Amino acid sequence: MNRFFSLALIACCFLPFSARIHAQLLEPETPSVLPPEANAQDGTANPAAQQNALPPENAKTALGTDIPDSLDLTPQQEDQLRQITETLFEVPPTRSGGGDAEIVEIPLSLHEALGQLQSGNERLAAVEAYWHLRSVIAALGVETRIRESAEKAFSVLGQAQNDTPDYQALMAAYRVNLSSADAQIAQLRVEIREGQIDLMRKTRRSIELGWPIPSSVPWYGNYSLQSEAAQSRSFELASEAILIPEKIRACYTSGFALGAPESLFTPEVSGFERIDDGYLYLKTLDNKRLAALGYIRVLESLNSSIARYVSAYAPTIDTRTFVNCLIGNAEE
Amino acid sequence: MASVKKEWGFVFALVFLWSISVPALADDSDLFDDPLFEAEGASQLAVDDPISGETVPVSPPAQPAPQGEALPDDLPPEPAVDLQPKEIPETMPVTSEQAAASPPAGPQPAAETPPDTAPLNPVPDTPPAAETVPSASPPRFPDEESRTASAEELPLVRFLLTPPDSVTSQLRGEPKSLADVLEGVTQPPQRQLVTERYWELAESLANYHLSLIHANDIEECITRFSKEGTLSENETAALVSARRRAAQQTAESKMTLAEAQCRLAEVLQASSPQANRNGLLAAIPTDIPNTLSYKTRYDQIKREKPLSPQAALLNEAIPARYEMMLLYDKTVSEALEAYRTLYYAGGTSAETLLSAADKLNDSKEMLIRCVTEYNKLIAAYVSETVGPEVRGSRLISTMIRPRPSESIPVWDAPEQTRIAVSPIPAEALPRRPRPAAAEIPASELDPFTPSSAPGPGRSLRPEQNAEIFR
Repeated sequence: MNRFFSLALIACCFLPFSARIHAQLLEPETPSVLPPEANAQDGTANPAAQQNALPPENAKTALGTDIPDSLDLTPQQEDQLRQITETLFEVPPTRSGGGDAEIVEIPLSLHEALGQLQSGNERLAAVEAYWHLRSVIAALGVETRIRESAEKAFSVLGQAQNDTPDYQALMAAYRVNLSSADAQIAQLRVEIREGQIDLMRKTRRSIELGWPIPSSVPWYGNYSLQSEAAQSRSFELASEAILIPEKIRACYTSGFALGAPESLFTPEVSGFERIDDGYLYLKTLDNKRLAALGYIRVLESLNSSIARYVSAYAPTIDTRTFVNCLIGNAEE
Repeated sequence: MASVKKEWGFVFALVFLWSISVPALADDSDLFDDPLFEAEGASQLAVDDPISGETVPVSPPAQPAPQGEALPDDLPPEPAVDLQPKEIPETMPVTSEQAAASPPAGPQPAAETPPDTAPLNPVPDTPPAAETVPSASPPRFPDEESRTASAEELPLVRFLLTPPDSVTSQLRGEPKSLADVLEGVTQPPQRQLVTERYWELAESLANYHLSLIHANDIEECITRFSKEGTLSENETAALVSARRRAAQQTAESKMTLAEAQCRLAEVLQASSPQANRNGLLAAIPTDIPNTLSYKTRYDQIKREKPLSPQAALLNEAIPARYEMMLLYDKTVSEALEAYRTLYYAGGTSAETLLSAADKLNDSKEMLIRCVTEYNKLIAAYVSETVGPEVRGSRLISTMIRPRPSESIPVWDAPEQTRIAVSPIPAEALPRRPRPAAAEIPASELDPFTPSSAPGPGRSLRPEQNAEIFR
């Protein structure tokens, strides 16, 4: 009996001892001083990460077009980007004024806005104010149209008279979405008014001429820079010469990531029937909204950089030439 | 009788073996093997402390503190360590908050003294007195208390600011530390401005890295749902829109990074026009911002010299911002946990997982922003309290943990963890050479203009010409 007891005790005591030896064989006692990734050979990496993501060609297909390798666009790419940009920067209907106290809204091209300015610094400040106001108005358009898409899709669901908790939760999420959009729209209206006042101050326009609504479309394609010898004339030139190609690439990626121009503000689905799909619909709309706003921001930044570059390169050129250097003379 | 004695002797020997074997059972080193957790950058190696039996993070080899010149009379503030020991649960991976709170290897340090009763010790360049730093090996930094950077800082911040070579190789610029950019900048207001731009650049680098991680998370979601079965129309639209949104974010964050590089170069040019700043036109930051509890020593410094009301405000603002930073870090930990749970749970819907991925990304962005603001406050406080005579590594040590000198063996490999950023989406990181300048004649009066052709073909081509600069 004693022998059996001893053998059992031996077995119980040996188990942890063997575990410790086993552990020591697998891992050193002293902490490793190498970076963790140098020890990471055990294949315990995230299996999802180890699996290949969708191959690039599929990703490109999902995006609708290839991201150009160079900064020059093919005619097809240029046409798509043009449609996207013109849709986003569509000039809203202007108020022509119906009463004595109501101030009219006047479309204002970039050339008209800079008409009275000759100084390089003043002109640059006016251009930046112009593009900022243009971008805020475009953002208002995005928020408004996304809101309309959500309203249209959920108006059908609202007629279903479904009182289940899931339905109520979805409708609550939709109302949150609407309230958030309304708040954003109100915020943007305030920013537009502030931007208009700022633009009028910087362009020395009188309020009697009406609230300015920028009408020029920002530049969105490749932009050829001067030779490096010319760029090294000043620090501003050199830094903008570095930034402009980066911003053009960001513009391309952002623009083509928006997909087809006709589906900028609506998901590529006809609607939804299930409650779960309602959440997905809202998510898709939100992603489209954020992507469109991102492209607008990138475009504003690119055009401001171009303006700074041209101002630094040739601060005394006449206004007409200056505007041509920024956006070409397609408006003439 | 003899056999009984032998048996009992044998039993006692076995009991002795048992007593020294039991601690081996408490091996928590597998806590960090969760790849998704490590992908979020909060993992560390951990081993058992043979003395306390607790799980402790890996300690890089300690180095002696750098030797320096005699201290100036003013008392620059110093970064200090603030530990709150906390038990690490065995079943959950150690998040950044817990890693920061985990006890160190070796003997426990002295208890943290409250700020208003802190000793009036100036920041020494020599190793501190033995009664304050009982550590087995010489400390690396003046305020070293036998703990390591990895145990105190927020690991996520370090992770995001040490992107892999596959990411940095696509960026313009050269690695530059805070000391590099402050070299030659002597006046405190300019130093503050340069430091702020440096931290903004670090923030933009972290955001760019973060955007790549987020894009990869979205790809993982797509892969997972593609494999699970047939996607509905709405699910496909949601996943595609998420991928597009992530690509746009990456493009924009890379653009923001380039802008931040130029802004830093601009202030350097303004602060020191005579110096040759061409090499700093594009910097890639290498220093990690401070995520420790910052000891301002306001009362002590005020006894030595008058301080502005701004310094008093900063003295209040800095601890408040630190607390906010910890809260954001906690938010990231919770968002990460929520995302992991949903990712590995069966039956999770695409919308739920995408929302969780977005929330995780947003919480990290907010943490990074808060860290940048915290370090800007520190830079402002140093500008108010540290004179222009304090320079070099001495100045840097008043803001962040200084890097060890090259003569001392260091563990200077970045604390990179395995990253689930593979492969980087092609759209997010185009690998193409920079375009050559258009072939325009070298004369400065050469015209350049956007294309004047209507409709398609607005891209500039060298052969197109317009009359300007007449």
